[in-house]
Amino acid sequence: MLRNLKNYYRVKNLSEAVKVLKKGKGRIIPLGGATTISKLDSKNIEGLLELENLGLSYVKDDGKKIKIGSMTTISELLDSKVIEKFADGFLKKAALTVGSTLNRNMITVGGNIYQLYLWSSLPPAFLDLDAKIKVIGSKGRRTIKAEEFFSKLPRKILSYDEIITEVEIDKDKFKGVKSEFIKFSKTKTAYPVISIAVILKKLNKKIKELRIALGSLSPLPQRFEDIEKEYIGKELDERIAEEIAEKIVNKAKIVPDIRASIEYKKEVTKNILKDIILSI
Amino acid sequence: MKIKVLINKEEKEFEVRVNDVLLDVLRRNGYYGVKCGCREGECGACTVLVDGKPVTSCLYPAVRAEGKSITTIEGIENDKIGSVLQEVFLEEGAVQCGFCTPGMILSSKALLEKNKNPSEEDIKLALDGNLCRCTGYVKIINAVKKASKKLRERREK
Repeated sequence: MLRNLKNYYRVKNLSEAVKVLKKGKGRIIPLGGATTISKLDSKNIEGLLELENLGLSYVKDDGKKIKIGSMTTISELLDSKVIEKFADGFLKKAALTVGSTLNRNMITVGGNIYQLYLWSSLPPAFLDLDAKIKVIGSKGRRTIKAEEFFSKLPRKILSYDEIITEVEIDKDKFKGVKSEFIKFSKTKTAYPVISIAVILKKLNKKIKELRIALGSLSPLPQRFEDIEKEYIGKELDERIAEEIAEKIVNKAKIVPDIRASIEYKKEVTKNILKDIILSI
Repeated sequence: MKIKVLINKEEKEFEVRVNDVLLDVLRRNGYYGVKCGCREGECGACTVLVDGKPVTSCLYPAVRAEGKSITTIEGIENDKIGSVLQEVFLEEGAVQCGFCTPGMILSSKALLEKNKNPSEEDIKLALDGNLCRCTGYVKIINAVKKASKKLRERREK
């Protein structure tokens, strides 16, 4: 519970929002989807900054880039024709694995990538997509590559007065790709034990493009660019798929939790990953 | 602080604290059809519609509801879709203990507002956040299918 929560701020624009956060010196936090606010336990947080109605809910396609506003809900992503058509529906497949419909109507893109909870499916997907995270703060605007943004907990990347405004993805790189996003969990809406995001493009049975990211196995999502590069140009068959999956799980950081051991997670990840690579 | 909302088509003003969730504010003000289940956003018993979208009111900050339209189970008696849903839930035996029923009906109403002819998969997806520990879902899914059929037939007449 936020025992010392006293104030709720509504502002007219982003520059006012940044001023409120700067004044708060970390004691005022921005309100995204707000699904975890009632569960936070802190004596330090004294105010909530409302980010609704600041024009941050949108999905745009300018032909070259897809731009997703940070306050876009997961349900709005699912409803977007732009997202449905892009990269073999990759982001739609990822979004469908986030919580339940009731939660997806609240959870926002910005919140999902900032909090990095177990149910955060967008971070591994954005890693595969080389997404760029745009933020605004008292020192101005900046763009952070997904690779850097997810290199440590985003709260250590962003300053207390910075707000995520948009996620941008280059469309050109993903023409003609196939993709899959699998959440392995005990029930359909349970938190994932493992999340696997794969983008693959083949030309005459040979791998032209391969992107693999894993989520939920450790606090940070992981991508495996060095292993991906090794296999560009190779003909894809069962042996190669198994080799890729084996290398990935051997390199992945996997932490145990109450639901599954490291060994179990490794074995399941390897098998699902191999199946995905062969089936898409 | 005070918030103004349009609740069940009626303008109301509620006294709220910044760390109140909508569920508690609604129940404090007599909307007992909004059930308190898990307080974790997992069971859907507290489902209400905010601007037409079903959300878990146990997680929804009450302050955020300022200026919004809220629908609780109390507000659907005279609603075209809501009243059909109530009829078919009874006809199909989709209600046992009844604790999940307000949430089920509100999530179903939101679905039928958006999708006039949902498939079984659409219904399952729309209700995936509403847990029922009695009926096993078959009768609930059948009820929503029947409601959709009844509403289509009424529109065609």
